[in-house]
Amino acid sequence: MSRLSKFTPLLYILPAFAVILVFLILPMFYALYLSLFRWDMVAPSQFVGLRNYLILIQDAEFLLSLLNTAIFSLGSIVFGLGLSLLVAVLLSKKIRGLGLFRTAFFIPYIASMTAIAIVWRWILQPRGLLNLVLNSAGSLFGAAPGEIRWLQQPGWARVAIIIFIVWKTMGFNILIFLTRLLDINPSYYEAADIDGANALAKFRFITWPLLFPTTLFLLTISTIFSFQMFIPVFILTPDGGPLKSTSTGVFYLYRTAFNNNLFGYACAIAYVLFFIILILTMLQKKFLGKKAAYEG
Amino acid sequence: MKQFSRHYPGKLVALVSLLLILPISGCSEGTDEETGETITVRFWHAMGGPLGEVLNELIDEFNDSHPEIFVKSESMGSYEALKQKILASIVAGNQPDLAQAYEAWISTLLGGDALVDLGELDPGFAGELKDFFPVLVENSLYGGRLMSLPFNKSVPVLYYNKDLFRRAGLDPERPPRTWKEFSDYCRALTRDLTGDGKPNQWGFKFTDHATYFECLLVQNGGEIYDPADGEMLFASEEGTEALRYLVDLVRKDRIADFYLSGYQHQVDFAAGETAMIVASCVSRTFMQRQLKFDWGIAPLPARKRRASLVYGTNIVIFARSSKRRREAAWEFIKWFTNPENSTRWALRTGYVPIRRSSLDLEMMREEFAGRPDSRVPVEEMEWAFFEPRMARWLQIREYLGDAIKAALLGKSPPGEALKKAVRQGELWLR
Amino acid sequence: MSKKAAKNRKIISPRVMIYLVLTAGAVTMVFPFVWMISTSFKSSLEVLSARVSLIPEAKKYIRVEGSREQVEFALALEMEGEVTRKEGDIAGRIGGELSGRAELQAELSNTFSDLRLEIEKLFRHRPPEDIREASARLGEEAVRRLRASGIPEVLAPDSRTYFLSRLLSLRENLDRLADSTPAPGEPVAVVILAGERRGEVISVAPGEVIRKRFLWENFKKAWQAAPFARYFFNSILVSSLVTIGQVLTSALAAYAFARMKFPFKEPLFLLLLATMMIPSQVILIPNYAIISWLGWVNTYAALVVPFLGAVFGIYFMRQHFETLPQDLFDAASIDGCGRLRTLFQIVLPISGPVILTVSLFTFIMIWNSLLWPLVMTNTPEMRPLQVGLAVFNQESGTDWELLMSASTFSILPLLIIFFVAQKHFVEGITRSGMKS
Repeated sequence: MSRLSKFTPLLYILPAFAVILVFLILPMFYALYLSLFRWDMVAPSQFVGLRNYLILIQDAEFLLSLLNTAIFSLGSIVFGLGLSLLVAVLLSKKIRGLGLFRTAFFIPYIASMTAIAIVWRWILQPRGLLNLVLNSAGSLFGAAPGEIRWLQQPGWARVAIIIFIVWKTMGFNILIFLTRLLDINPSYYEAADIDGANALAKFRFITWPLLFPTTLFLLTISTIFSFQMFIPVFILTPDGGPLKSTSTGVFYLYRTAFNNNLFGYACAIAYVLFFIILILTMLQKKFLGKKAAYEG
Repeated sequence: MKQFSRHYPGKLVALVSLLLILPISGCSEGTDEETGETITVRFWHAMGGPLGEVLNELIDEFNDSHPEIFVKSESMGSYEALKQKILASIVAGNQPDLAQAYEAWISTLLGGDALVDLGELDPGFAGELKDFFPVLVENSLYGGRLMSLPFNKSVPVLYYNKDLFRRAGLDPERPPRTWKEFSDYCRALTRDLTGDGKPNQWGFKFTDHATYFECLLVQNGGEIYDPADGEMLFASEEGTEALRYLVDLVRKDRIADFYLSGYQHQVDFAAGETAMIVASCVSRTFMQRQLKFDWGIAPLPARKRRASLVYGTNIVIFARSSKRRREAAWEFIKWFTNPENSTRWALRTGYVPIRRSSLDLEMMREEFAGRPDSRVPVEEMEWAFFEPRMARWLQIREYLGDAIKAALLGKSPPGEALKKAVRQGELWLR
Repeated sequence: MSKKAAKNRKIISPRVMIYLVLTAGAVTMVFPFVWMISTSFKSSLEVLSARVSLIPEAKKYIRVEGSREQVEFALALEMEGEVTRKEGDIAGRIGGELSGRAELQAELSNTFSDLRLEIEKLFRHRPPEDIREASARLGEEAVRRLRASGIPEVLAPDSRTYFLSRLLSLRENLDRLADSTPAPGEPVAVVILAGERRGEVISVAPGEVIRKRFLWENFKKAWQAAPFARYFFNSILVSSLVTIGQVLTSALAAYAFARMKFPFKEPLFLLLLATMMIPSQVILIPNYAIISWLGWVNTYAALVVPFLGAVFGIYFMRQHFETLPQDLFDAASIDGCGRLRTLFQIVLPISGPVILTVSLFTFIMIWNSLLWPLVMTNTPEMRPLQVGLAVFNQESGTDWELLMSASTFSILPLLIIFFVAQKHFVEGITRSGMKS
């Protein structure tokens, strides 16, 4: 065995590495290079230096897409994680039919985003399911019937997308939370019961701290995921939404490149998004990670 | 592929060749079909539905009468898809021979020298050109070179419901001719029938904001842009006035309404719920089948002058095609745009005729006699103008559309909204 | 506390609340799927109508010149039309006098819409024999309601006269229409609701009217409306090739990282981990340029090759390989097994669950991806399923029943795989969740 060259193992990693090098690492730098050009893939490219970045800072539509992305991020984190945590906590309380519930909550996650977004496009129609349900519920309380044109009004379009995202991704979060919750040693809770703690106190002082690393993990994942959101926008509001209110970073990138034929500029957008995610993730790790390490 | 390596900034390393393990190709349409006597010419377009049927019938006719040429008609489904496919095909090197193209796309394609100069291809055609409507010729000349010919052009016209006019005490044969008359008519035609404070019948509804606004702008004496330096001028006083006029109709007087997108305004018109709409003259053929009431077509009202946008695509030949295919493609274009065939195309689809001599043809005169309204689109050609043709225009048009929507929704005063659109556009024009 | 209060507290116990909330949540999660399937079975008219129901309605069809057209009983439509006309006349004339009196306005519109509803129900569910009698009663009932509503009292004298006369004529018209209901066995008049002969009234024998509730043919129509067979084939081919390829390259690389020593091992692994930070949007455009340069646009190569190697699989498998006991490898080398053979004949067979998890995740990720294949393909022949769906969505804007059918058969395969391989899914996710 010692006869084999010590470099042979490199051949083992070569196939994977070759692909990763050419299609992941190389393009990352190539994108930086391209962002210094103006190129529509038809005419010869033109070197413009940092001009694309200077335009970016003034591009109202780009800044709006950042705002939209932030709104979706916040909405899906606050509501998505919040509701998921609630459901997971409920599920952790010795529920009969746990498997069934868990499956039911997880099904949306499995369906392909494209196909299910098409279904939601139908649901969000002015005479669609959502308005139907809301009107029925509202009439129970005596409210007059109305018709929210979800995908046609800037404010509501955003709400619609958040509702969809939360619905789609809750299953994943619930699963992770639930697994961790079921792992918590019940003796902690028993000790707390002896001390006379109520449900809220138990949650605050036992569940929440122990869950913190998981919460942080899901927070990071949700952030990264919401920054890459494309399909919901593409299917529900293919033109970027009323007054471009649902155009996200990646969606704007796609439009810039493939509708407006500005490939260099699109690379600049990609890089700025990249840095924003990087910084956000680092900040999350820094400020919240310390807490997680301490508590966990 | 060789000709494109110069377009790629940066040379890629040979490492890539390691990966030619899986050269599984899908179907590509680049095979050269010049078998035997018949030359196949690929024609990419976006005409589907009934319009596509008429096109295909004409193409079949051409193929039958020209056995040595076969024009292969390929519909891409939508203009967006057509544009993406054309540009992707340039990159891949398998572009068709002929395609429909908007003026802005032509500008992009010119940047890559992808199109054939038709004036060079057939210098003798210059004589024929004089028969085309001047505005359309101008529309096809880029830097003095003839890069395309008009293919399917149309103008927006005013459709109005004569029955509703009568009920409101208006003369059904006298549609509004000025902005002032237009607002008066809207006021008379907007009615609240059920007493709940919301109109059940509207005087006017519209979508397609940019097109309509541009007409208003030029009717008000303004300009979209300065051809000399490309500066955007639609945020001028005239533009602000025009937009404010529109916004007031909707928000202040509440005698007009709009949709953010789509064709609902046409549906409302067909349902008798809206008295007037602005839509393409092509819609006439659809309307004819649907409308159950007495209706008419009128030219757009005027203010300081009459103006109407003429829009639609042109047809181009790609430079990559071989000499034989270019000439075959040109044969088709000449046939399609000759007086007789272009008139038949116009009459069956609702597009405007592109040549003056169309008006002298028997079939055209019969049309005018049988349906006086059909003169309207042709009339509007007299004061027609076209949008800027620069590659960035479609992007700027998006900004303009958003500005108009923002003003209509009350989110921004008209002047500010327009100025914002101009500013955004300027980022790209330097 | 009192007995009643104590009893009340028990009824809405915390446990019950929990089950209620969970059930509500589960229903919300699942209901869109139910709705999708329900819509798939409806006709296009049904979908666009104002009436909504979970179970598709029993729609009526007759055969017209070889094809099947949806129809409605002409008499039903006439009666509904009559009611609507009268309502319009009345509202137009006295509407102004009722303004400010919301209850009276409500009573007016409610009576008319209830009447329409009753007529619908009558013709949808009752056999023609019963209709004559029942419809006469409907007219009388409506008129009685409106006379007793209090509306006549608030109207000006001539408006009151007008109102009452309209009511009378409504009842007379409904009576007259009811009289013209065909006797059992007689031919009925139906109206064609869509298509070229829309609005045409035809007389048919009662037996000729076919009632269909579930339109299974929608699935066939949707399948044929776009080349879905090809889309599925492309997705299966591409996802399978990538999965196999990625598992292979990841296994090889993970094996080396886990159990071999070689120069630059540490830095290379760190490099690998670092690449996990690269978001896919950064590399989209440059890859498009690279793929174009290679001439691979719109080929399987573009959809498969760039994914043949990925960090996720390497990371996952390395962890697993590291936990294998050293004895296993010692025994193998004593037997004269080379490293490669050890991998394929010993290590992989016992790594079933890990391989399955990686395969599942890779397959699903490629199956569900849209942006990459959207950019890399531009003809129907090369599109995978998701792109085909997205294009179908754009092109079939409001053919909701077809769109829902397409979504249904697109979601089904993965749903089935999920139910079968549930455990691996859940395990895989929780494990990746725990590690990070």
